[in-house]
Amino acid sequence: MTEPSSRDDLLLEVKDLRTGFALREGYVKSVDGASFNVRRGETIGIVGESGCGKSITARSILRIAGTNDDRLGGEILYHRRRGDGTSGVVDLLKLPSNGRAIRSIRGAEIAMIFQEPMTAFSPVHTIGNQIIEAIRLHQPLSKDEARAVAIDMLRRVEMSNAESRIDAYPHQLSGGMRQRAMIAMALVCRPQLLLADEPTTALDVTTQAQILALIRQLKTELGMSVMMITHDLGVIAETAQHVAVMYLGKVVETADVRSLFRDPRHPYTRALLASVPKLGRESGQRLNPVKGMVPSPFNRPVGCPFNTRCPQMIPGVCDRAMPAPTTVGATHQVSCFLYGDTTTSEPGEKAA
Amino acid sequence: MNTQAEAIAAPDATRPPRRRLLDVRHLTKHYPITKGILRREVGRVRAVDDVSFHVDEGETLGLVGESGCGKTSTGRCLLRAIDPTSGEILFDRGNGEVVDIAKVDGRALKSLRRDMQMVFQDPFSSLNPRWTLLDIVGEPLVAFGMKPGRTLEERVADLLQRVGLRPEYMHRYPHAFSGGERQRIGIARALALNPKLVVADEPVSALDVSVRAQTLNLLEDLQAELGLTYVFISHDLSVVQHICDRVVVMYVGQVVEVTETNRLFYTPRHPYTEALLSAVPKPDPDLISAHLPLKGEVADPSRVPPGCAFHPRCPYAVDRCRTVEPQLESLDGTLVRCHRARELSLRGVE
Repeated sequence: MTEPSSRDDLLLEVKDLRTGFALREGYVKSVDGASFNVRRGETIGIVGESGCGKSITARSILRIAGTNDDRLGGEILYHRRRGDGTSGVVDLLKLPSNGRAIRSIRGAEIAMIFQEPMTAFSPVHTIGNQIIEAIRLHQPLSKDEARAVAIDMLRRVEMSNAESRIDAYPHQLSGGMRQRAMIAMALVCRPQLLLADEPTTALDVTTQAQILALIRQLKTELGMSVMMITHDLGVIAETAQHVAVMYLGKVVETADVRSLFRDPRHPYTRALLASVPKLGRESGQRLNPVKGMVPSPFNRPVGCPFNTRCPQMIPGVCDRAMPAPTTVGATHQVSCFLYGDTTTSEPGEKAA
Repeated sequence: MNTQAEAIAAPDATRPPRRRLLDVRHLTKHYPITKGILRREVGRVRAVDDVSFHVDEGETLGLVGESGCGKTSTGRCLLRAIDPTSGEILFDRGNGEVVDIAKVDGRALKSLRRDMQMVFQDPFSSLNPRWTLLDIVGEPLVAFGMKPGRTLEERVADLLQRVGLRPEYMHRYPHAFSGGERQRIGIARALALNPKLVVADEPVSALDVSVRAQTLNLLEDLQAELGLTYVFISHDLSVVQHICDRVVVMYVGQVVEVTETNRLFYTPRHPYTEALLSAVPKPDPDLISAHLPLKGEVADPSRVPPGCAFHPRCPYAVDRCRTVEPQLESLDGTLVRCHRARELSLRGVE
């Protein structure tokens, strides 16, 4: 398989992902044409408020969301490199959601950690048994060998007394320790990509700093990519090299982390940055939040999804069509009519 | 204890004197750990351990610390939502009458409740799903003798308007509202009786970034308009720096540092405060944060380490810290509980 060298470092391409839920009240679009790339060895931050579709995007990659969705659309191209040196590109959305192919990827090559480790672990099995199960699902190891691997992994996530803690039930561990155990379970098969869905939101700041440092360190050690999903711009600034900002199921801006914080272009990104109280000299100034709130997904605005709250909304333009992504810098793209490009894509129509 | 009481009594030189609304002295809340059918006491969780601070009228006092540090227990003791084990909570009712909240009971306590209200963290579990907004916001009014009818509805409409909700919504149920709107409902309920003191326990932690900023602005506006005094409990230091005038830092049930907000953030005196500040992720990729890695976890409040409770995690700990318990001492207008506060030069935020 030959690919242009510039795309060699690509691990995952999400292209125009569309998914949602059929409810009694109607169909809810939770992701509505999201596109971004994940490069090898890079941390990409996905930032947005509740309901913007960031978690569903991650779950769609693992094929644990949108499995009964007949309007599922777009492509998630996974550039797979196998242990035997062969490589290829798989469209994860084309794989049956419980077939052998996706099960060999899910948990082994692409793993996920969740916000609340208490609900992600089974309360009636020890963490050791759950980690060992994850290992034996993907690797031909005996129970004793798998246990040794699990203890080694628990040590790597800096869990003290790993030999005895492996037999602990989730409720016997503190929140930070549970999160470490979950990271150990996710990384035990050495995945290419770690999907981290708000991994530190439920933790104290000091524990959060420990866990973020741990993820950074293991990312370098294992050479994996991380997709850091969070609503916390501070976490993004500390961990990510590249950022995608999502609003109502759409990616409205993508940029390298420095451009995003220094030169945010999309009015929503600017508003988000203005809403965060800053630690330091600028503190105490009145916050300048986005007015209103995220519209109900049943009642999506026509055109740009942000037009109902946007201070720079252009009547007759923004409420008619969805702006296409415009390149505003080497690694910076924004979907907004304020930035020159007038090419538009009608809502529902595939973006160019 | 002497130094502590004196330092607390000393007037703050940098600000005009304000009336002291609340004076908390040696507040303690222990939970017994019982075992067996005889419920024999085998230990104690020292949730709040000899905590003293004061709250001036019209100010916002922050209570910060990690989970399990006793900040919520302290807040609940202030309102007598839980009974303290010992200590005094002196509340100035404004007519020259000073009552000890920790001691009053029955009718006197109920009349005090008019003056103190709470805003909760979780806007979903803190509102009764079977009650309309009129029932929820009107309940405190009815409890204090207002009869259901026109006047009640007018008062509720006024309260809803004040927190930025449309009065027409008063016959709806909470499920029809988003998290931010529900938090506004909780704030309207807290304001129904014109309280003097509002204890807000993590009021914005469950909210999204943009709604969080709106709610913080609302709290500030209401304070300016109604002359409210806030005790603001939070683990989010950027929010605390934004909204608080003074801050109390707690660790394992004890106060470790009390000072004005800016002094705390720029010149922290306690190593725990320094570690907390350095752990906050800064929304700026160019601030290459030199984290001071704080090892380990918060001590178990049923087995508090001897000496300074923070010593097992403290990068500056010396022998004395492991054996002698430090007391709160005054240092340049800051109250700090650390043996080495005078010699250390700690780093605040940039």
